[in-house]
Amino acid sequence: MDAEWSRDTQKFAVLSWITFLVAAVFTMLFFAFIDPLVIVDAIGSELFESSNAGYAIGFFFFWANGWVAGWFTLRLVRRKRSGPNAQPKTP
Amino acid sequence: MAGKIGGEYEYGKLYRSEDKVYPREVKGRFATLRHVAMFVLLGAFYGGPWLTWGGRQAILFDLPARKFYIFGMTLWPQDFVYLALLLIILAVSLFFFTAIAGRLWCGFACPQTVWTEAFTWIEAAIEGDRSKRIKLDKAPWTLDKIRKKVFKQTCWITLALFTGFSFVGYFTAVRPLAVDLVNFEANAWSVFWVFFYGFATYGNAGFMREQVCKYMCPYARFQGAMFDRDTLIITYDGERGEPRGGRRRGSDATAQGLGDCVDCTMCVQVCPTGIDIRQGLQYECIACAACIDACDTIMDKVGSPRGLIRYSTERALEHKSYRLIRPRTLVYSGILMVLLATMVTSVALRKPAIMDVMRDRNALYRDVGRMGIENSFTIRIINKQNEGHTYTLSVSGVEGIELNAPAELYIAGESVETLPVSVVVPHAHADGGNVIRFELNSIDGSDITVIEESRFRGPTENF
Repeated sequence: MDAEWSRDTQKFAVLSWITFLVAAVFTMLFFAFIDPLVIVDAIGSELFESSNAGYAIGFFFFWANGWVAGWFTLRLVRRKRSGPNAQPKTP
Repeated sequence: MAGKIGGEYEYGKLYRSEDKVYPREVKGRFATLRHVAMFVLLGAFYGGPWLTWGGRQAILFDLPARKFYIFGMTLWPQDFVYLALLLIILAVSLFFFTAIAGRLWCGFACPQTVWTEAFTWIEAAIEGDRSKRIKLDKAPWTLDKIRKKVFKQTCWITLALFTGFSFVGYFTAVRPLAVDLVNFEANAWSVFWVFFYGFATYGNAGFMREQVCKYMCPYARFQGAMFDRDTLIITYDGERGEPRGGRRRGSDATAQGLGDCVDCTMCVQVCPTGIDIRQGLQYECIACAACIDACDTIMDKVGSPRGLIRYSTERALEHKSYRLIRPRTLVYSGILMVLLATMVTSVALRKPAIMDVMRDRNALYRDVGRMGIENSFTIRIINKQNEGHTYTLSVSGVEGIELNAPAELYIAGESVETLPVSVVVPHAHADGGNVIRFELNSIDGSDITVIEESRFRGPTENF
């Protein structure tokens, strides 16, 4: 693995890891107050009928939520370019 | 020679392309300390789920049952505040230790470092030392190379999956889980989490390694804010080392105008993040002290005193005195003390039982004729202790108040009982809203008292 990551690799890795950590904290907070069976009952599918499934759904929901929000933020926030490819300022 | 380390600079490129980091093995005081830390921490992690306490798994975060067992203590979701408090205490401790001793956490205790250490140890045991590994990666795919690579990957994946299994073992009883996994009968979600966590371990410790610290770790980015000029950092003593340069054994360096650094580049070769500490403190430095060990070994060989690279502080390098007590350490330790005291007292005063009083939402009150005004409540009692208790429930707060509830309640250990009760107050005293107190007392000598307040509603004159 190259020691210097490209900017896209950096973005992907940072986004995935930070949202993972945040999702872990939010899963803990959320399920301290809410029984995962509530979620499982709401989905009502046989595939997800244990409380373990409820925790997993909660965690991946928070992770996906953070990831999507972060990805859009990264895309939409404009950076001023610098260096040889810098665009001339538009009024 | 120094320029050849890392990668070649290509003209016209914004970044110097760096090669894969092949950290060189190192022996010395800090390497020993790091290995001890690795064995202790990994031992605690892998051994943790197998400890038993009072016939039960000592540390079990039983998620399906929503109860946390930590040795003799059982925590309920209602005790979440302790977990939150514990996490805050851990975060502030990290601030405190960072202010005092820099990135001690990164170098010795962070799971990323510890597992990377374990993974590189396996790698070195199979593929050989640094130069052999570089040669092996450049060599064509021979049978021997395939054999070594396959063996390494097998060991890595086994360790990663075992890590995943141990992790799940903290959340699902580990002994039945082990039996179920061996018999291919384990719960699909448990298997999923074993593989998920195993995959994360492999990715972080085998594949990404120092990149996690350089690009992905939030602490690595923020820790600079907790540093000051008295924080312990790993430093190269430029005053003593420069000008660096090679010299013949036994020649007089001072006469040649050279400092103590012989420019052997050992400090760069051993660095797991591939930096040159001689360029000063860099954010990539995880303070693992491998360069200190490497440099000390060389200094011993060339006959110069140790400590050209050493733990020091910015102020010490400027020949100023070291200050342990300074505003930053006082503030951090003050916050830490308050939090610890809060934690200890709240755990010590933790109620062995919880009572929730919920008013009946359907009707504010009911007129029950001559007897008076009646309010209905649902009482939920949680016995958090392991043994069962017998309680009596009483109510007070208004003159003539009466409670319709069983005379005695038995609630088994670690269980929740919900019972509907009604409270009747004579017409004369049932006006508007009055605060009433429900009191739960154990009558089996265990001396448990829980008091909860609620409101008694009656007809309002002006309504």
